[in-house]
Amino acid sequence: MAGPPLTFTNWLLAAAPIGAVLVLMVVFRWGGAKAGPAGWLTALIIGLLVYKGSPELIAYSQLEAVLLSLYVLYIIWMALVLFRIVERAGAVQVIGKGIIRLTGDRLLQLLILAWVFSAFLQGVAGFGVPVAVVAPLLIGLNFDPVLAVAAVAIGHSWSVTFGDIASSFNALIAATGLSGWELAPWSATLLGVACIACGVAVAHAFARWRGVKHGLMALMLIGGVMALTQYLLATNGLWNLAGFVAGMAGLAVSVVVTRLPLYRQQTASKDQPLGDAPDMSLWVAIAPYLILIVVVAAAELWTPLHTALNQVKVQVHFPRVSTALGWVTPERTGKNISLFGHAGALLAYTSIAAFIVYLLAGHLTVRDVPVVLKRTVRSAVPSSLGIVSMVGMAMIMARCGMTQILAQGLSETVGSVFPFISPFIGLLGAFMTGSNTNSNVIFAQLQQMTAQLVGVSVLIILAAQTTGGSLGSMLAPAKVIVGCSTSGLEGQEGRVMRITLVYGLLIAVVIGAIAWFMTSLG
Amino acid sequence: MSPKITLDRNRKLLLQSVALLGMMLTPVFLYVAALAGATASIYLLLGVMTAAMVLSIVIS
Repeated sequence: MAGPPLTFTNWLLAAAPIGAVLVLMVVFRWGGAKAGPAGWLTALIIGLLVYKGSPELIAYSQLEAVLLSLYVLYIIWMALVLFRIVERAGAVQVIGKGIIRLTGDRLLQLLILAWVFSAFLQGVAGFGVPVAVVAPLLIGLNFDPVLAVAAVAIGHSWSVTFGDIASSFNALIAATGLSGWELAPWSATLLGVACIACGVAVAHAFARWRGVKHGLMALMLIGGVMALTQYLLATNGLWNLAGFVAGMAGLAVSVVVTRLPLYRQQTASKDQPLGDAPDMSLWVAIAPYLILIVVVAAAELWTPLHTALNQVKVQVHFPRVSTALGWVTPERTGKNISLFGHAGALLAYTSIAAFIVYLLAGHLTVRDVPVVLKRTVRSAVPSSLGIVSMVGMAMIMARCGMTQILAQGLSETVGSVFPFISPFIGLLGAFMTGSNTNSNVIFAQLQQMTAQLVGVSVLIILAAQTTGGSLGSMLAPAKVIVGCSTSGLEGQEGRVMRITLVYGLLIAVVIGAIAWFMTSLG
Repeated sequence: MSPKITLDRNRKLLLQSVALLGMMLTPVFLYVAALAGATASIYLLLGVMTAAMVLSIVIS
């Protein structure tokens, strides 16, 4: 595998597609559906003209990219269908109001909604849904609007990797070729640290160190349970459930915490506005998520069902290709997609069951089906364009040897400090693309190769990558804009980002230091 | 700086869907053409793929 020589010009050209996406999204405020294709075109031109990739090589890279995209999009589309059903039935309001009634302690209300409930929502739907849904609830409770958006952006970010049925974690698996069993322990460990750090950050944003001191017991109890639940599920093969079951466990512990003497001095205020919610019991409201737990657990743990569901798989064989400069991609089999056993399929079964439950309970009618589907398509198509084009870009870069040049340059420049900057690379990816998934797709291979060249643990580096990507959600302009738009803060995104930027970078420093320390232990 | 044309929401969504289908289906034909060694077809299909990308940039 000779490949192109490592020169400054080659390194800059290899970085150009990523740089183009970054500049277009951050400076020119383009969305992923515009910036992604621009990055793809840049990668195509440089890949063909400078890195001498053949048209055949590009052709194979694009089908591989489509398979990789489908692996993630299957989950994203189906998760959105489920969320739109729950939203249409009014169940999100019912769950939110149920939480508010638990306590009158302002800090605890903020923590439960912005840190725990938002993480639970992230567990079932990404795309800025937690910020879009929870920030207005907080504003309805008379929290400062800027604080409300910032607190939810910070609070939910730890659960992004394993949230949305672990779509970002599945992207990490797909992009690196490593198994979830290998990647889960370190990823869940660093994200567990991030979980508690995000809770501390929300308390600090609310009332500085006084808030942290007052909320310490809640932070440790709820944070400990959420981090541990996430770790246990992720490391036992149930990573698809890790995010939202951790959120559910957090909600359950929150109920207990509100009963602690420290937080019982205030009861829920009668004059706090709770907004409109349909007449629905909390059990009916959360029924889809209980069904999801049963469906995923049965499909993953009950062997006969698991085998039956995974009979039909889409898999493509790719022949060996090389560039004119000698960079070789060996013969390999692309990512397989199990049509009926994939996490996306499990979400589809759950969505059908959820619809039937709400239909029988009288909260939805058959006429709601087109509304749900239309809303899903409206939000999923633009995101899908960004994902498909960016994955295509990443595959061109990998097969033309551009990723290798980037990794080589990084390893020779930063050397042993690389583990410390690793989460910042993940964070940068999420910042520029608004997505932990995209960050993993773009940077996971780069991080993997650099770790191998520097000679540090690939698993710790990839955990730092996805943790950084998860944290990056709190300061991604795309997410902040969503939160501001549903909270009446249009044009004030900068005020929110000034808060999230500080906390996001500080937590990334902590994660980087841990990654550096752990890799230095060998 | 941003290339932009004015479209109503439904037409924009329709064109975005067309671009998405172009991005996702063309690689299947690209793969077949590459296996068959049909270089001219590969160039043509890469042109289609590029058009889908440009369409996404222009309408999004």
